Amino acid sequence: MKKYVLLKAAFITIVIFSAGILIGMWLDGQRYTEIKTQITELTIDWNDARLQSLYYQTINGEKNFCDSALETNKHLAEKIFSRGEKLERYEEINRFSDEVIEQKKIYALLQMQLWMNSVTLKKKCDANYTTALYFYSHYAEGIEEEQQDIQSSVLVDAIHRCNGSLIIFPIPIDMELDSIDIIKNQFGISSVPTVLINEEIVLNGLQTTEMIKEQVDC
Amino acid sequence: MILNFVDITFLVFAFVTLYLSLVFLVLYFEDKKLPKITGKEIFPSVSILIPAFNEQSTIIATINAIKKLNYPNLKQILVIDDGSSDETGRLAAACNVKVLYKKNQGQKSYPLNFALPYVTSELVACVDADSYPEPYSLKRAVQFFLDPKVAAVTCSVFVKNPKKIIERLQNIEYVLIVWARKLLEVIDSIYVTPGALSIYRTDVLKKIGGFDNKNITEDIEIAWRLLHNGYKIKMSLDSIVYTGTPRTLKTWWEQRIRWSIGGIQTTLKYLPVMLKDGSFIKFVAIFFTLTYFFSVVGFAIFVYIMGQKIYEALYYMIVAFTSNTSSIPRNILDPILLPNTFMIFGTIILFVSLFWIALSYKKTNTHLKSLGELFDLMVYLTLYITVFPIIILQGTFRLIRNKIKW
Repeated sequence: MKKYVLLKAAFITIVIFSAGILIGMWLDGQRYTEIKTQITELTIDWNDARLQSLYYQTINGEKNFCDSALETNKHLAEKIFSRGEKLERYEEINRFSDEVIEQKKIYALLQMQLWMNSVTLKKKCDANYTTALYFYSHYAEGIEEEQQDIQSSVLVDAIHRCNGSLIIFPIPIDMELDSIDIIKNQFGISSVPTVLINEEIVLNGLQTTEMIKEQVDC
Repeated sequence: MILNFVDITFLVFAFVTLYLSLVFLVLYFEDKKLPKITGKEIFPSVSILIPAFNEQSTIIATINAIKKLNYPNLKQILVIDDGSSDETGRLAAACNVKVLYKKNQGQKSYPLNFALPYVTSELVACVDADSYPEPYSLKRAVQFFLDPKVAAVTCSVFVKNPKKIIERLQNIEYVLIVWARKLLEVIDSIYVTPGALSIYRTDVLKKIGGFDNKNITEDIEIAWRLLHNGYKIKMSLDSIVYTGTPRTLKTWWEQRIRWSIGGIQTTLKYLPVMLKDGSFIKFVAIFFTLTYFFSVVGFAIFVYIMGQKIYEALYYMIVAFTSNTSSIPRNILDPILLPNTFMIFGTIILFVSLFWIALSYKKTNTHLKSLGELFDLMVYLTLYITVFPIIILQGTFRLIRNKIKW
């Protein structure tokens, strides 16, 4: 009787426990699939935008190129930024699928490409907006993570306040991507959070709303 | 896999907690299948022992409650005045019961063993000097002795007039314990014969050497020893006894430290024996050990995670405020909106616990009568049980340092 009861309970526990783990994995998987779909969507959008740009420059003789390219770039930047927030949240919650990191690398590269595009357009079209790279650590924990969250919040406030004249690209510095490492080395970025404004001003450490306001005129 | 050490510890903790909860759930369904006591009533002779140390405020009421027992074969009531410095002995004698006097030696086992040679009845019931059995309690409990393997019967212990919050919380705990004990009966694993009212077969008690004077909780040790010797212990759910409980946090704390030390003493005494012979109540020992270990581990995880979260949340709020941005993190609701495995297990354990409480209340005919009682239940589930690991730790340290006092 004793053994029977204990074994029966053990069996039910294993079933429920396994079910819990499987449901957890399934939920993680669902989130991963959603991220993957969105990253693919962003990649398509990015390639589409690049082709548009190429078309205007080569076939259409740059007629209306700037207006259209700037508009597409702005739209894409907003979209990538909001997807990035979701990616961060999912990444925080997921426990069983580290494939999210791969998607994050793709995402980081998309951000870099978009940043380059934004800088190029700014010069080429003489556009009046500020570009900023926000460097953070993917593996930050504890207080460092809290600082990054606060920095994100300050920067999101700034984006809303500037209403389109500030484009921010969050870049994880520790994803082992050469293109990011090149920028890090060029601007001497070794700690997080760091904000690089207009490819010139490097702001190390947590920046308050006032500090950002001083550097970004909008 | 991106699980860290805390995650894995939590999963192990969740598994064990779930297992222990499900053992009781399975026992509940098994209990339904067990044959109930039927047939002719028995009335073996019973002696009642009341060890008393400075119990002048309660001894008369206890004796009166015992005198009101509806039992036709009550042979004698023995009050053992354990060196009281108050009027306990005189008041008991005035109630026309036999009073034995002895010098106080500390533990309750001493007065019980002191009185044992005076007992000549078939059964002996031990009653605390601040406990009040219901009139029918003894009659119902002795029926379990129809089975010759049954050496002890325990009863449903509830708090007498729980008024203060600390008493009400203990009453909730007693309700849960009563039902748990009834279920443990199914697998012959009742691990304690409470001092408030437990009945023993006299010859068995004498044969195994009476109560252990070295153990601080003689009622836990004797139960384990009976089981170890191949006897059964039963739980008479319908036999109710009300008892006085600590009324201040300090006395409650000291009582729990004592229980904790006694539990550890007993586990240490019997765990090696059990593991060696493999014959008896392994579950009790494993249950005890796991409960002790995991309540401490669970508490450590809880303190670590909560401490970290609170510290980080405070840091966030203060620094975000000084940075002139929102002090409320944007992802504050994510653990609820985006459930993961940990959320799932947390929810399962919560619901199993609530189901268990509801069942215990139902089976012991306890009802939530007011919002105040619901509040008590919340306090019990959050604060009250959270304190136990600290008690276990303090009890362990005190045991190691050999600072044991009654």
